[in-house]
Amino acid sequence: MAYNRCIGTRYCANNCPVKVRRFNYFNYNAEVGVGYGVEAFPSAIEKANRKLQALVLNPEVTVRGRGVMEKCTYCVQRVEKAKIHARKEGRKIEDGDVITACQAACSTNAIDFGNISDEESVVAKKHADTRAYGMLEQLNIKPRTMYLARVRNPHPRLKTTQQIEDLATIEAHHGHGGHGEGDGHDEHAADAHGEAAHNDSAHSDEHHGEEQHAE
Amino acid sequence: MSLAIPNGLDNTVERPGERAPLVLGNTNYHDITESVCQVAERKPSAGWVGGFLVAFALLQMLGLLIVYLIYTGVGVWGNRAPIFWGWPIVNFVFWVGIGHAGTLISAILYLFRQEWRTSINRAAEAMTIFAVACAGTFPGIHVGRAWLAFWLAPYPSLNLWMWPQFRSPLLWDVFAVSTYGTVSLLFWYMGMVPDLATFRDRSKNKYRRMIYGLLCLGWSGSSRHWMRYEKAYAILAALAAPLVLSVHTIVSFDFAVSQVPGWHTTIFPPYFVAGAIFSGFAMVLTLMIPARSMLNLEKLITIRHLENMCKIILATGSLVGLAYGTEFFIAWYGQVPAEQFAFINRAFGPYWWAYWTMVSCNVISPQLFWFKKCRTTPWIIVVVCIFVNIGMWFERFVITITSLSRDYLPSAWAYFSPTWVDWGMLIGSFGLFFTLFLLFCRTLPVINMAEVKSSLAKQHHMAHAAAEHGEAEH
Repeated sequence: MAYNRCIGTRYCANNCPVKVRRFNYFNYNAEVGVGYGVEAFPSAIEKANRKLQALVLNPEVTVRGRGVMEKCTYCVQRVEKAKIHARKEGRKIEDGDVITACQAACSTNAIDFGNISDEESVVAKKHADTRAYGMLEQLNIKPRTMYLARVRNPHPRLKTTQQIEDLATIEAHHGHGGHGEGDGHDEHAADAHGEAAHNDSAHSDEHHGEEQHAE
Repeated sequence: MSLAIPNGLDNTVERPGERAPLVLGNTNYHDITESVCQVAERKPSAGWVGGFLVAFALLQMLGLLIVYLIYTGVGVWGNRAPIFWGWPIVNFVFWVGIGHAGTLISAILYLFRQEWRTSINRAAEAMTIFAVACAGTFPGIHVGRAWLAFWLAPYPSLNLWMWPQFRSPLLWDVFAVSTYGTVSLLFWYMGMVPDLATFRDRSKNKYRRMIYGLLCLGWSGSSRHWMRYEKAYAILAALAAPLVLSVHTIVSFDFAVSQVPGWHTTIFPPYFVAGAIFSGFAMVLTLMIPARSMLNLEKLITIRHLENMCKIILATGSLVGLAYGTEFFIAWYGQVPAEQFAFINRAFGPYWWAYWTMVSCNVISPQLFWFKKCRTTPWIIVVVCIFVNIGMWFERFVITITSLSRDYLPSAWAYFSPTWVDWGMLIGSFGLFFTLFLLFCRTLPVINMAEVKSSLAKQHHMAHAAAEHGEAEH
């Protein structure tokens, strides 16, 4: 995204199949908290909110004026900073040099960021994983952001022996209307697998349907 | 016997072996000059003054809204993610479409030797120019940084050190519309030169004579002038004819080249061209029918002219209907889920009301023109044509907005609602159109006098030939 060349036809955003682009309809940066149209006459609470809004501006990022398209830059300011440090130390960027804002904020550590061209990096390995897929890849958009598919067994006939045994005990448990006659293992199966097992859609010991992002 | 027909008012009846008369009444060359010139020479009527004041006020509103827009930001429109293109683009495509009838009538019907075009081509061409002016207003102010819109022009830039992106359909659009506007303007002006000379010759005050004298480029009516005029007119007609088809083809590329489901379809170029001619003719009829009775031009713009145009509306309207059906068939046949969803969503999603307004106005209402009664009754024509105009605006709304509002990822869906600025600009663009059109009626020859006279000459000639032939037989 070359902001300086953007005149704001917004054609790129129309064509963006994942609709990640956002447009500076107003001069948000210079006039933070300024209302337009009906919002030009704010209430007292609204005025206070607008003062708060000014605090979210990031001093490390150059700001774009109105009429320019915005897109996630993968925190280019952090990438540049890490590159400078690495160059001073005479090495390549390693895992952990760049922590993007979304990565830092993610409470479940779902996001990884790193150097795809370095085969040893975490992201490169995760991109090589058979679970890795790109969103709407069929449109030939060649995304760099990949997702890791949820671990599940979509085909019931390919269930492992363990899964079949677990399911059999759960069904038996339910079939008897909760008479409480099951042994310890029975109890454990019902508790540990909960909804996942009931739905017959996902059965995994470690990943309960969570998706991981690797960038 | 055949001399009797031109006196009758019904020239819609087909008589074997005869051409239907295109000028009615016992009209001679002088009558034609008088009836066309009086429109501009007499004092403006109260209706004209009132209409002009309203149109001019709306034009001022448009101007003020544009200032407000550029001063504040394009967020004053209803455009929000994911609907990045809203009413301004709808209005742009709508007006470009309206601007298709004039050049089609002047160029293509000229090349096909359709004599009936002579009494309607001037006003229709004027509407084309004015509609292109309305259309041209929108893309320039639609960009986020209107003050940099000139970057779309290919010039050796010292700021950017680069050319515009020649692979972008938006750039093709700039070329297509500006070429079309320029050629239409030249064609319109050149065709007007002999009539402007008539205006000059009839001018009773010095300033009028000077202005029309300048505009008619020293036309003297010599046969050398006529010979060169006819040649130049034919060349311009041949140049303009492909442009009629190309401009809306390229406008449709703005959509077809993208990858939004509902836009990315190969049917768009022919479908857009048919729709444009359809809406253009509807607009010409909507304005021409009241104008011909207010300006007393019924003998020159006859019912036969109106009927012929209705037939074109019926044909293009049915083509548009066929295109709607084909889109659905291809969505099903192509088996692309996103495409299929886009079309089902159009007809049965949250914008169902817009879709069915479009279908009933564009496909169902022109079917009335199968009946001769409807094709020859002016008020019915006006009603149908207004419906067609509404329908064609909704067509652009449906294509632009329903496709954008729901594309691939449901998490990004939204529903569009226009703001008061959107409404104001749509209404204001009509103000621009009517201001220009009303000024045109008062200052320029609304009917191509020279060409109508030549078709009157042919009419007389044929009538005489038939009469002599009849005498010789006896």
